[in-house]
Amino acid sequence: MKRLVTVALGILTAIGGFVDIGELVTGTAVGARFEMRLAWATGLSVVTIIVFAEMSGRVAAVSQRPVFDLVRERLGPRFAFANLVASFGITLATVAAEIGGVALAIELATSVNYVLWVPLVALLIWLVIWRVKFELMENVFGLLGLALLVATVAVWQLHPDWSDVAHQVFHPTKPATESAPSYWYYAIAMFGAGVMPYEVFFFSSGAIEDHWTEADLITARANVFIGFPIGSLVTLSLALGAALVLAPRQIEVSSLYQAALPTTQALGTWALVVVIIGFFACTFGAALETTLSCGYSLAQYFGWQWGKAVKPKHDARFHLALIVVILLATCVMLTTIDPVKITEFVIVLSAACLGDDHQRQGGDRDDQQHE
Amino acid sequence: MRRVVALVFALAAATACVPTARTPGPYAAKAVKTADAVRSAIESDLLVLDAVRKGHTLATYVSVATSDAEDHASSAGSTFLSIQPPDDRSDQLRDDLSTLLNDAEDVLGDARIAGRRGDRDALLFTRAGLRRAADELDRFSQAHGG
Repeated sequence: MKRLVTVALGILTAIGGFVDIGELVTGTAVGARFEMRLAWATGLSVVTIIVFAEMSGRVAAVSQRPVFDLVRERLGPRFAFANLVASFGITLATVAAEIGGVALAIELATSVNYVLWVPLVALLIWLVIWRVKFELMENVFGLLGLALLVATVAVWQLHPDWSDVAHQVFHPTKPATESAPSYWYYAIAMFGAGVMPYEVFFFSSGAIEDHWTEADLITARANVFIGFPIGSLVTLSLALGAALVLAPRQIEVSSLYQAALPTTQALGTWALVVVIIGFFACTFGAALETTLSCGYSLAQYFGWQWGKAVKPKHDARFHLALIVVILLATCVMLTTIDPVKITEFVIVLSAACLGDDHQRQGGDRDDQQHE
Repeated sequence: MRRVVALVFALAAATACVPTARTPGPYAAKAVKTADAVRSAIESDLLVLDAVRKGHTLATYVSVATSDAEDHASSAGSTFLSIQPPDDRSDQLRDDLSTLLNDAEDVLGDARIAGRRGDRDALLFTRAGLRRAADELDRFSQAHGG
């Protein structure tokens, strides 16, 4: 029974934690512009992240060593350093985008300019990382992220023509009004939004933080094979909601508030409140994951002591790195750069970065089999 | 060699921040794109107004949404107006669009003021003006190949 509860909780957390600022923005923008003609890109990204996450979780559970530790050992410090620089840069930019996303969500609830919330959000992220236990942190924000399933209910209430939706999904032609480069740019963005590099680092390092062994692989696989596909339903619901409400009015998505418009139209005030809570939870959860991922990758590459379970005085460099990451991301957001623009930039680069990870993990998996 | 490098950098720096359209075709395309962007902001406001009319929203959300729509339209408009028109016909195009942009910004500003004040009646009163501005921008876009 206890195992069943653990597996169910893991699945729910994976569903709620699947969406971040990249999916919120890209899903809505793509739905408003291409309707459901790019749903295949989300499908492809889910399959890809399932492969990556399952592999990285399995490697970590079996070898008891996380990704970057193995990368440096197997591929040498120079190659690993190049990878560290690329993935750390993207993840740091993602931390900034997520902090901006949290601040934008709070702005929607308070109407106080998001820039004023940025330092407070940064402080809150640091406090949660410093004080809250890993498992509690993961579960609370993952479960709160389930609030975004209200977007799926909203789509149901909007009564789409399902045969037309199916036609767009299975016959994904480029709209006549769009150019081929534009279609492929958004296809890459939709794919990249689902396969951010931090997701793999966090899943792999989280396996070590949670003390996974081979016996926990069933939980890991349930998270990945059930939680992630259901989580992607939220992204597709945001896209379909935008296709039904924003696309007929030719609305270009440039702000987070527009992602809530279809849900508000369909279900009213209570749904708007729920969706804002969902925005907050999923961006805050992702901000924690990305910040920790930055610290994990640095610590694992340089061989520092790391982990939330370790007392800060014993892994001071890891915690210092987290503080520096939060400060850098905060400084980026305080320049008043648009968080949505950073998100667009990050997700297009993400797909390229993970290709490299795939090669490394494939090598590690082969080694595990030989051993 | 150093002079060439310096010249390249100077040219790059001089052109980096100024949007350009050297011929009438790209200028007209940018005009259409701007009209579409501003119309998109107005349509977003109209959706928010629909939600307000049905009592489906929060005052804070309306305040942020109407401010964002005005900012977005204003940014798109000012970017276009900073482009140097390449010929006389483009001057006329610029004048035509500039008038529409001013009208749109006025009514988006009215919506933002009412939205931030939480004045429901004044906000709903802007609906007709927003609809008119959106339709005029749509006609402009259609007339110039959008």
